[in-house]
Amino acid sequence: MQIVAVNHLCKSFNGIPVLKDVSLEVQAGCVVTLVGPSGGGKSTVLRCINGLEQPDQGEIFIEGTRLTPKNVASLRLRMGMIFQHFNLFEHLTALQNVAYAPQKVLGMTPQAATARARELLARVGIVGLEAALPRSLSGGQKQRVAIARALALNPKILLCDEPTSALDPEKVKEVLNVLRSLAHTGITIVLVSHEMAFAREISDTLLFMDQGEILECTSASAFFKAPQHPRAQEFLQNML
Amino acid sequence: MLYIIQGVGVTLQYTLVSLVLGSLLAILLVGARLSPYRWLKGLAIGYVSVFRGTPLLVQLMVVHYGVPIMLNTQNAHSVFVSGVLTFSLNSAAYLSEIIRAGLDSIPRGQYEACLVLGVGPWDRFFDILFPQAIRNILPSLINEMIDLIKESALISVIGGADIMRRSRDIAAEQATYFGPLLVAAGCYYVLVLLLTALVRFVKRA
Ligand SMILES: Nc1ncnc2c1ncn2[C@@H]1O[C@H](COP(=O)(O)OP(=O)(O)OP(=O)(O)O)[C@@H](O)[C@H]1O
Ligand SMILES: [Mg+2]
Repeated sequence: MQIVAVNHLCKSFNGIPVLKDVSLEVQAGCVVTLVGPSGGGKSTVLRCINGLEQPDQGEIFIEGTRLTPKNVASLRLRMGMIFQHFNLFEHLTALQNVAYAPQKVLGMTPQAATARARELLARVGIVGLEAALPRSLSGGQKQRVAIARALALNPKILLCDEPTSALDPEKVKEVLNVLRSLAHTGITIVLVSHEMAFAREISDTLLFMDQGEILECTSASAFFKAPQHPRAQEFLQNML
Repeated sequence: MLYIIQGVGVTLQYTLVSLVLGSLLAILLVGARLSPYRWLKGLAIGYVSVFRGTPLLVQLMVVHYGVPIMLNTQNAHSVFVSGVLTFSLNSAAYLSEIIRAGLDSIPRGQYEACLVLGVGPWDRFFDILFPQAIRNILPSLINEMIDLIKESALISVIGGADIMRRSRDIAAEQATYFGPLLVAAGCYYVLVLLLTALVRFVKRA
């Protein structure tokens, strides 16, 4: 089943086209990774999917429902988002960051939300740091708290925009391990990443995007073995 | 002299009540300013523009003498009500700009994290954005209080028994201006110095 469908998306910023007729499909439970040079429009696609940006043209379907300004707030709850710069609530502890939305948005009791937050933090390997403020955590720890926070609302889809790009190289692994543990457990993952080895390992489908267009859409193994488009070939050569 | 110093309580009363009411109104103004509705936004912008663009004394006169006439009521409202009302309305304009600047200083990612997690506008403001903005806002807030303390001397014009009014009463009684007014100035200055110290303390904390 298609859990996300994007049809003929167009988007410009200040008259400059950033997405030019972008279409893609994501099957439920799969991992789809967007790769491509900087400025190609990868983040903009993710941001359109969860309504942080409004497309100029085209439509987006989440589980068959067309995304509109009216239903964006409710459809968003089915999607978790992981940001490059974490965007943790800086004045709340790790535990509060995770427990906040279930309490406020799902109406869970504080006790139930806290218990669930502890469980999720344990799942991403944050134990003993529940009371820490984000500023005293490492980048890798922050991103893992952010993943727990996103999971707290039980999303069906996880959108991850370069989750490891702001991390020190030695912290990348701990975040990728968490994502690896989530992949193919039922949740659908749409990932933007420059970690090619990781993308190759966990992705079912690979999309190559450049200058606002999806130039290639194949299985991960096919893409890395023999990219078809000249720009994809060039990109891979530079990355490897 | 003691009589003048007792005016400190009156002055502070005006200032604090106005600051609290002004803050509440300011929050509404910020909400209006940031709302997606054009007319609400325009209303907030117009409000701030008018109250910052006219002298406080004129605003005070309009509220105290003008409004009762306009409403055609015989009994004018009390000096305290007029004073607090004017100062609240006026400081709300300044406070809303302070709060807005404080919110602007919060990275946009905080706002987006709220959107993505489905946190509604009310919780977003009171639980996430405002608590983080308050650190930046607090010094400006105390500075606004300093301004308000000094400006509240205008209340003596319509008969409020504040520091200023009392010193002028004494001055008239004793037929000498210098001494009583010096005491009044001293009172204001001490208040302002105390608050300035508080600003420094808050900035360091
Ligand atoms: N809010 C915005 N206002 C103006 N221009 C924008 C905005 N967001 C993105 N852009 C522009 O749109 C283009 C695509 O940006 P986008 O962030 O989607 O690319 P990307 O593929 O995610 O790149 P990167 O790998 O650097 O993150 C860029 O040229 C960028 O400058
Ligand atoms: Mg990007």
